[in-house]
Amino acid sequence: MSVDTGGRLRGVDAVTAGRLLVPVALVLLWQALATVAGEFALATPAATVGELLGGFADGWLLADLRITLFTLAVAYALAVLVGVWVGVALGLSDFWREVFEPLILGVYSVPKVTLYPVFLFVFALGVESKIAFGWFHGVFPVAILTMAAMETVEDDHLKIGRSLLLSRWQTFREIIVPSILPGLVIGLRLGFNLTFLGVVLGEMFASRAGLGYTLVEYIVGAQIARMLAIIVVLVAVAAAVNVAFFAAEKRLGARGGETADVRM
Amino acid sequence: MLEIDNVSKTYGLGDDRTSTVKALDSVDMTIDRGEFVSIIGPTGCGKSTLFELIGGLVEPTEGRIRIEGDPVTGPDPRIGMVFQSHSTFPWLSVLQNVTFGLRMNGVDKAERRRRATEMLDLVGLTGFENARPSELSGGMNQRVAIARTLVMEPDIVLMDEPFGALDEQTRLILGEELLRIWRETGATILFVTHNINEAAQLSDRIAVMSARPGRFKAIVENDIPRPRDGDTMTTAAFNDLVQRLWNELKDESRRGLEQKTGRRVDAESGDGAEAKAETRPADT
Repeated sequence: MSVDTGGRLRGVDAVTAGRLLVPVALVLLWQALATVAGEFALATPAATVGELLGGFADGWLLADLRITLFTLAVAYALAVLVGVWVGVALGLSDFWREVFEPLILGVYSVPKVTLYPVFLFVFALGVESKIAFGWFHGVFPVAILTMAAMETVEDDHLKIGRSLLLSRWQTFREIIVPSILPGLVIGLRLGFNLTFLGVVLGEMFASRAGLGYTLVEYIVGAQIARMLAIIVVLVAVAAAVNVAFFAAEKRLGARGGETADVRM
Repeated sequence: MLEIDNVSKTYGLGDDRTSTVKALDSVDMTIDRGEFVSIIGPTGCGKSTLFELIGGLVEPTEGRIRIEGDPVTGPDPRIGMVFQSHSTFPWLSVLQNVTFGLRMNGVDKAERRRRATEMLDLVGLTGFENARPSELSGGMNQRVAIARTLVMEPDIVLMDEPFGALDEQTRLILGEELLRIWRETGATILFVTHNINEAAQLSDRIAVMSARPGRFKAIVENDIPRPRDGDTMTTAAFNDLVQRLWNELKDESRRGLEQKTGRRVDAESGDGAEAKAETRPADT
């Protein structure tokens, strides 16, 4: 018994060590590539960190980060709101799900960047088009995964809700959300990642502010270290949010697993 | 008083809803306050449809259901429903499951706790307040489901095969406990089951349903004196009642099976000796 536990503990430690070593290896690889390619092609990690710290000290990086995070937050909030609403509504009705499912899956599979001109014409250059484009990327995975998760809502639970005369909101908050949470969290994570992609794409192609816009400026100006500094910031935002989501999924997955066992 | 007044229910089938199936046909019964009535019938006879009609979850196509003279037009707080199985909320603790309905109806926390504690005591789950449904057996989960319904203090409790997924011993024990709970609460109980022994053990009256479209083929009075326990089930009177119920039911069961499988079932396969074997709870 104690040997078992010890083994598992050592296993966990090895995994943690491995996870920490991978980024170290990547930084070393980056350093090697920069040395081989030369500073005009690829800045060194040290130069990048220098620009990163400088960028925050000057404030340009922070200003862009604020704009991007604000755009992302608005776009993601709207994507979650609409995606969950559509997913739940379609999940509750066989008829509407069958009508809309092919349409939603079809549009989801379109490379959305090809539709960007449409967004530009409708919303013009500015924050609205970035928000709309980010929303358009994120709303589909949220809606699709919510709809799929609705299959796990027990009919009897909904009937109990009805027999207790629950309001729509109570049914949603107290029965539907807890039932679909394990699947919903995956949808929320994918939705976040795609919203982020949409927002940065929007900033890169048609905007006058934000990390994506500045990134293109430095690409065009061949300011490699600054370009890499922005990429590091984008990676850090994505990684931080995803780590939080993974932790939530793991916690809910464990609970879902127990539940599934009992249902056998 | 619960009146089921000539109720029929027809469902539309298919995408275009043009073909229909009659699930219930002119079901008629009046149930007195405090009565324990079982409804038995073959697979697919519309027992669960009747359960949902009385609970106000679906509307009858014809006829009316009345509680104390008021027509049922939707879920009614005077009616509590207990479902087949796995109906406890796995994301809530036992206590939270039992207080759920009270919390949704704005009952304050102290009162919720008081009533839930009382209910958990009634169903024999004191000490399990903080357990999760996943940590409990199927029988204990059904106790939680029963407590969750009874805590709302309904006048009429509808139960749709609540012990259907349980093993025989658990079913017998919970049956006896249900009788005790029924005595203590004075509620009217309408108990849907496909188990003849269970119906005979528990009920004042037993409505035998026909195969689809479901009708009340017979309403059998159960004169076996209360209190009933495990020993009751070995008496001649009990066996006579089971035999009588099976005689009412066997042709319907065969028809129900034929409807389900689309094949004819041999008409000679249901004599008395076999009947007893087939009506053991473990066989259902």
